[in-house]
Order: sequence, then structure tokens, then C-alpha cells
Amino acid sequence: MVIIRDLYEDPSFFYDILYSYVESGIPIVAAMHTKSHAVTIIGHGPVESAVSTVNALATRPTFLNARHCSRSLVINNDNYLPFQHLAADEQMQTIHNLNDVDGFVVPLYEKMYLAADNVLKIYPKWVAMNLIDVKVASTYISRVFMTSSRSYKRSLAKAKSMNPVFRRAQLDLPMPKFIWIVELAEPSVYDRQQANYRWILDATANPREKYSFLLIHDDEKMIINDRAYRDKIYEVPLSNGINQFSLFENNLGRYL
Amino acid sequence: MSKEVKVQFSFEKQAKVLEKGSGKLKNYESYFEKSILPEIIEIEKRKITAKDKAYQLRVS
Repeated sequence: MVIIRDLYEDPSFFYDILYSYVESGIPIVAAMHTKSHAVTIIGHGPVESAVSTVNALATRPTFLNARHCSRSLVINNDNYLPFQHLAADEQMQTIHNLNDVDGFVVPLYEKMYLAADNVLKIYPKWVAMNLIDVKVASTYISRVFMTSSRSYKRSLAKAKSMNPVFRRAQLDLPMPKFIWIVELAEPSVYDRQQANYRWILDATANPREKYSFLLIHDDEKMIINDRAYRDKIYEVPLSNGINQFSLFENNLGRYL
Repeated sequence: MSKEVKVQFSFEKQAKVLEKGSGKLKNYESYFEKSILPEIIEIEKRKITAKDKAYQLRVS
């Protein structure tokens, strides 16, 4: 898939899309038109404190993309040694910086119809339309990425601290080969490498479908879309609330 | 012999089925049709031109 910055009115949205694919662990070829060069993005730099990141903002959005907590991306630039940094922050001195990237190519499996921009556009609407009631008093760090359902379910098997009803529902629910995940975390929770909410979407869904999600939830209920067997949407109460749970980190390993 | 496989999810006993086109799903559906879908269609159209634009990006 080819994504170009000029396609979007807000350049920041373009970088949110790029970050979602980086967070998915998919190598990206990033084009820098003004530099007549291209590099491969393979990861992101150390994750900074979300509390400090949010406190430094002039305005407090409901959802802040997780890319703001990382000051750089990790690249392979064929003119230099591997594992260089591409600064996302103007204060950082690197050979190129994120603003130089004006397009990228991301290799996707042919059935991945739902793209990152679709996911980034739609998930805030579920809250805005009261499909789910997320406490909007706080800014949430939103981490959006794709993974395989196999890798995801394997991670669930180890997630012992998760609400058992929530965990079991996800394990039970048939999922396609690839899924999108939206993780939302209050800044202090994110700094503990945990999340408050995790919503799952079908990466093979048509972007024009109204219900591309598989499971969304708030503190009191889950809304589950059984796309495999009955084509029904269920609302399931979470009588014990939702415990905070560990961020999904099977895509990119964290070493800092 | 019926080949139907009966599937029972763990959450079904406590679950309430939300009917599409009614209740709170109706509000969401109409919002989706009016506000979200046109935006998605517009972006999808633009993406079709992205490949053409990509050829104009000369990279080395």
C-alpha cells in the first residue's frame, strides 16, 4: 500500500498512520522527496514518559497517538551503518527527520482491507456516539497496531491479570488471521506499560462496513460482534469492571 | 445427520443481543452513514491516486 502525506489535510494524521504500521512490526519504505532518498523504518526509539508528554501539551486531546511518546524512529539507511535514528523531535539531531518523510510503502497481505487510517478515523467515533462510555476526563494514549490473531491469542493465554470474563470472551471469539488493536491507556497507566482498554477490529473487514469491530468495551460492558457464526452483536456486562492489563508487545520487543 | 456445529460462547448466558437498526445501534448507524462513510469514501478515492503520485516521487 502506498500512502502519501498530501492525501491528508492534517500531516499529523499521516504520521499517526505511519506509526501504526511501525508499531505493527512491519518494515516500511519511507520516501523523502526533498532528499531524493528512501530509508527503511524498522522500529521506534525509546518510549518516553507519557505523563511528561501529556503535561507538555498546550491542549489536552481525548486521544493522543502513542507516537508522541517516542522521539525517534529506527531506520536502516543504505548510506550509513544500520540502526540509525530518524528524529521525530526537532530538538534531536539526526541526518534526516520525520518531517522529511512525505510518503511510504507498506507491504500488506492482500486480504488486509481495513487500513490504519480507517481504524484511526473510526475508533474515536464509538466513544463520540456513546456506543461505549469511556471516561473522557483524561487524555488517553492511543496505540493502534495490527497483529495476527494467533500471536494475540497466545499473548492472552499469559495475561493472567486480565478480567477473566473479558479474557475468555476474546479467546472464544473467532478472529480472522489479522486484526487491528486499539489500546487506550491513561498516561500514568501507560508509563507502567499497561492499558485501560483494548478494542479489536477485523483487519479483513471492508472499510465501508458499519461494524468492523470484533470486540469493544468500557468499564462496565463489552460489545462483541460475532462475525463468524451468527452475525449478531452482543452486549455483555462486566460486573467486576476491567483490570488494567499489560500492553501487547509481541510486535516490537522493548529493551529499554 | 445434521452437520451443523453448535457453538456456545462463554459470554452468551449473560449477553443481550443488540438488534442492528434499533436502539443505540440505530444512532450509531445513522451517524456512520452521514458522517463517517463519506469521509472514508473520500480517503479511499484519494488513495487510488496515491499510486500515480508515488511514481512521481523520485527516490534513490
